[in-house]
Amino acid sequence: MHAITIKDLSKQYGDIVAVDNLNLTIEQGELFALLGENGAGKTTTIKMLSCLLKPTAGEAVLLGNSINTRPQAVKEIINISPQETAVAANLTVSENLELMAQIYGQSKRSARQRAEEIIAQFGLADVRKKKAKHLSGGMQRRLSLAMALITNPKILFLDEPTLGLDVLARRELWASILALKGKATIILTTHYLEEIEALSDRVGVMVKGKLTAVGTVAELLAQTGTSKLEDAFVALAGGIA
Amino acid sequence: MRTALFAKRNTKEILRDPLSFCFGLGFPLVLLVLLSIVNASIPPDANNTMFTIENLAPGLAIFGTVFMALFAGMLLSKDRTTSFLMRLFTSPMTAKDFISGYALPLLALTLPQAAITFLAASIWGFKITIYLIPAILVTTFTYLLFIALGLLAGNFSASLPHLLLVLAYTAVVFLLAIRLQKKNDRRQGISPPVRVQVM
Repeated sequence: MHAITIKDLSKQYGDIVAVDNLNLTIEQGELFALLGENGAGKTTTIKMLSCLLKPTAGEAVLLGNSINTRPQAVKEIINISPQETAVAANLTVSENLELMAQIYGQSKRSARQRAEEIIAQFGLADVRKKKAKHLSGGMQRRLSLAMALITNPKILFLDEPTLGLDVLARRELWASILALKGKATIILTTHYLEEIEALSDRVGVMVKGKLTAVGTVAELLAQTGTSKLEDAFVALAGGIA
Repeated sequence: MRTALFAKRNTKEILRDPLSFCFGLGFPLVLLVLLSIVNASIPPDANNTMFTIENLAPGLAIFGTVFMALFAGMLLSKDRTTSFLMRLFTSPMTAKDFISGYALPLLALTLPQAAITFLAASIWGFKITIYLIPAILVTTFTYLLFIALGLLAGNFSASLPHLLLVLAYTAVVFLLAIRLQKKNDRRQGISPPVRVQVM
């Protein structure tokens, strides 16, 4: 069964076309990476799929629920880790996690239990009583991702989850994302090509709102006749080789 | 359920920000002290009742409501700039959960704030009677207006419309106040001040 089916999805702001007739299917349990330069339409696509933006035209169905007609049902099964750190600054790590779990319908006891599991999984045990605003940038990112996972989403959107992190923090987050593979369908946007090679099952390349290529890293390399993903991306994005 | 959860979170956010919380509760009290000192230094012959405690205490209790607009606006704009609000917008929370969740904790703060102002005023001779209860209730309704204005302004944070909106509603309120004052003056037969040209 397809987790996500996108048909002719478009978003227009006046004369500017942010997303142009997107057609794509993503399988359940797949980790799909959206690759593109700044302003290519990756974040707009994620915002439409997570019901933050209404599409100008087209349709997307997430596990049988349309973003146009059943947004509330879509919101029950998804979660997002936005580009910027999305935590409640004056709440502690535990409080942030329990709040999110309860908002998605878990009981107080179940939320507390699940928070403990996630705290252990993400290595947040030492800072569980610390307010989020007192955490380092890397730790805040980790908490932000943990808040997306505590709700057991069937579909998870990760919008540049490792942006601005140092190498070690990035590798730790990669390990957390890899641990999720197969359990949830993940849509990841990133600028880091090595991240795509390390994590993704398939890659979609977006250029000026259009999806120009879809396939595994090996397929994209074969399609462009290149040996590196960077060269393949440049070729597909129409840049200077 | 979700409203209560979100309201609880917002209460914690406000109470754990001691600077703005103490400023909100304390500033009307500071003004009360200063204006009472001003009142004490006005000679009785002047017949100026503007700063007497009966007029001052209710005025300052209402003035405290302005801080609710500040709290509401700041809370909302902070959530918006940290993307926490974006996260919540993708959750099953509804518009009712958001508005009630922001307004309820602030409404709960209004009662102690008004009560503290009136009780502090009793030190300077303000009489605590049964009429204090309706006075606090009326003040609470005024708070609703300022909470709504704060939430409205908070929705335009991090952009020029925020400033423009604040300026616009400030201008509208001032113009209305001036117009009403002029109307009252005319009704009571008070003529406008004469302009004196300096040679």
